[in-house]
Amino acid sequence: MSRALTIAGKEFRTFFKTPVAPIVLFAFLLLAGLLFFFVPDYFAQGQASMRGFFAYLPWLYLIFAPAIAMKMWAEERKVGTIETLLTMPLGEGTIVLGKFLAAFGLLALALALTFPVPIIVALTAASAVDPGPIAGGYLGALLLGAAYVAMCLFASALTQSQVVAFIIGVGLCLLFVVIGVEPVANVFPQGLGELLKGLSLLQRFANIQRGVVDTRDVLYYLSMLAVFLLLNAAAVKRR
Amino acid sequence: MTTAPERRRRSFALCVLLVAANLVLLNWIALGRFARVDLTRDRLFTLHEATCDLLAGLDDLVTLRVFMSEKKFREQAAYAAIPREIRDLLDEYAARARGKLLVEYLDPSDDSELRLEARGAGLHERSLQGFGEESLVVFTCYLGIVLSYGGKPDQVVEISYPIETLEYSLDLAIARLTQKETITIGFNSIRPRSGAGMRGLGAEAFDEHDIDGDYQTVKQALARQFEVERMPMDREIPAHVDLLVVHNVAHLDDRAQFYLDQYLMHGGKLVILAEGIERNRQVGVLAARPVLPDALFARYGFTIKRNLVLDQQCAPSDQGLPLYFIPELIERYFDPESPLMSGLKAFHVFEASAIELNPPAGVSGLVLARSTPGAWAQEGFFDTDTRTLRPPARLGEYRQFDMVGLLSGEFKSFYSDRALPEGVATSDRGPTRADFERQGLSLEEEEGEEEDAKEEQGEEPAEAPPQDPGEPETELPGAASVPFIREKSPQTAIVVIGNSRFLCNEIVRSAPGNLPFFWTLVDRLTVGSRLSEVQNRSAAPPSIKADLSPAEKRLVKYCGMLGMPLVVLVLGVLLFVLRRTRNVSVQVEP
Repeated sequence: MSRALTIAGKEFRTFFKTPVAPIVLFAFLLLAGLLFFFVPDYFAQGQASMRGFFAYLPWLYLIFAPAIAMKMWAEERKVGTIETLLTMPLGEGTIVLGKFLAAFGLLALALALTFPVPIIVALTAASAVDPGPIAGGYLGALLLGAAYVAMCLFASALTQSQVVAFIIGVGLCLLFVVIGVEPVANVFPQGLGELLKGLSLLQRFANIQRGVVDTRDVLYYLSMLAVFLLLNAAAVKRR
Repeated sequence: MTTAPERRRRSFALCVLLVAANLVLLNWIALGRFARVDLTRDRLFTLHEATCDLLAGLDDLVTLRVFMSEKKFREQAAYAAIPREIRDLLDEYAARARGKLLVEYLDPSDDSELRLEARGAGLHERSLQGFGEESLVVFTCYLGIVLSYGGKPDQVVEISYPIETLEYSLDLAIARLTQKETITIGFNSIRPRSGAGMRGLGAEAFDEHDIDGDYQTVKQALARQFEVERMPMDREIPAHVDLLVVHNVAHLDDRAQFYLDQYLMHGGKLVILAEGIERNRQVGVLAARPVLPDALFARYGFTIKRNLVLDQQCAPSDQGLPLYFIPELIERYFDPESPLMSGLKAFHVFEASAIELNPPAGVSGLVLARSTPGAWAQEGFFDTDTRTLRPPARLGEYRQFDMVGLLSGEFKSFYSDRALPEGVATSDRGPTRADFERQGLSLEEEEGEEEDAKEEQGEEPAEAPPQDPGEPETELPGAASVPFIREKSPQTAIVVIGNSRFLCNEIVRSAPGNLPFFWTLVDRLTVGSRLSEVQNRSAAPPSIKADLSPAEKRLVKYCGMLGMPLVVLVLGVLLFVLRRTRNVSVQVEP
């Protein structure tokens, strides 16, 4: 684990060696703020709630998570450093975990930087805001983000082009989001539709966002994480 | 022949498949065995303590027959979660009831006999909209619970979705099934029979309320747990009335005031709903009420002001304009200690007046709810035109007003030092059977004791009605058929609200906090249970402060949107410049 953390630290610092991380963080925070405060107008709704913020998050992640993860493997493969990396006495699992932690760390940082939003909500509320759904929302957002990053890392491991990795990542995440949307789930036969809805990232996120942490939802996210990190390792090994 | 790397890759792929299969299996197993942590402040998604107490107190088996068209719900993704959520909740109920609750699930989807049984029990078939292969479809289903307990008539609970209110509905049904006594709530009436002029929220309804007219929604809600009766005020208020809601105060004539007084003196509890203003029926404008039983109210320790309280914390119109005359009373300004307000978040009053408490000796007063500090009042001239009404420019005009108050203690009769109104000498005003029961005595015992005592003294048993030895009583000169009145009440309570319109049907429907507030009052003053807390738990977020100016709102929005991104941008540029400077310095070093 310490080796994975070392790799994660190194990868995390790499994000900030180029203007990419600040630009991505700036874009994420600006979009999140714009959507929450202006679409629709926060004050016109009349309720001091963060529901709108968390409702947009899965769709924001669709762009943000692939943008973070697309270069993690594709770049290594393109410039040829992957050979050096894989010949190190670390094992694919450790490297995959390290890269995942780095990308997830950036996503968590982005999420942490939205802390003024709940403060504003609390300050503009006529009476005390319930912190439970906010805490649940942030926990759900972290779990959802972890699943997105794992998928996008896997996408990055499939190709050496960052653009292709981005597109695959968006497609993969979108797939696990839209299968939970009713019109899509209803296209399939009833049993399959129900199963697909159960696999949807969106559905599980909605459950946690209410402020209820259910072991079934947490286990689901951890399973998604495990499967895609394993697939990531398999994809790296295959090459 | 496969090479070693190929074998490794295959075994790794197999390993991935096995792990994935195990995880699917684990998730499947977890569907049946799970745990939940409820992070919400009011534990919205966990059984309330009051529910747990109710279930723990069951002394006999309660059977729940759940009619649920599971097959049809499973076919529709939008409703697929319903069976799981209901089963989860009822599993918790069964666990808490420790064997005193039997839950039976019945799916009438393909069973005509079960459908007949459901209809026979009082459940209604309902139509829901779902998705078909190519278009929207409407399907019919059953979703309700029939509760049985001992030999009592079944209670029916229709389940609405989402199921947030199911816990409360179930609790009420169980409480109603298992409660030993019937609690009666009276509403004073100015009309002799029900349905005389069913009114909505017309001009007349502002000043005359009726439980079969504009208070019908409240009546229906209360009837789920209580007996609700119309109380004519031209005669004695029966002793079985546990709580009397007085809402047509302008129509309380002298006789009505006398009966009200004596009801209170016998230990009855009162909820007074009254504003000091009324709407003129002809021209529809507000004016101060010329007639109110001010002297009676003053004796009990409160005054209804002849003003209109306006507040910046108020309901918005459909166009988003602030309706200052519909103030929102919020949790922050409720008495935090009083159980009467426990768990309540907010409610609205409609064209309300302030109250003032001046409790006499032996009575204590407590303000339960105040307006916000952003409130002001109109007196004399009243303007509620949203086009012209603006908050006052002078800060000195803003203040908080007392809107709801509680008086509790031993009240002194309004008639202890004045003549009785004419025409009240209609019946015996001596202690009734209920009076004795209230004091833990039986009428027969009391009569028997008195007769025994007199027999011991060699006297003949008296035929006069028994008198309560603990209560001061006055024989009234010239009123032979009214032998005595009570001059002092036992420990009892009056709740005063400076508004009666907040319970009108349309207001209750558009202000979701009003019914829970009134229900809580009634519940706490009568049963003293905590079931209303179950209802008061709400996932609805608080409203936004109404006293923010447009400039402040713009500032909040732009700061919220741009503040942190700009910080990140500045830090990013600084980082970039620092790194560049360092790189340059490294390059110039020999």
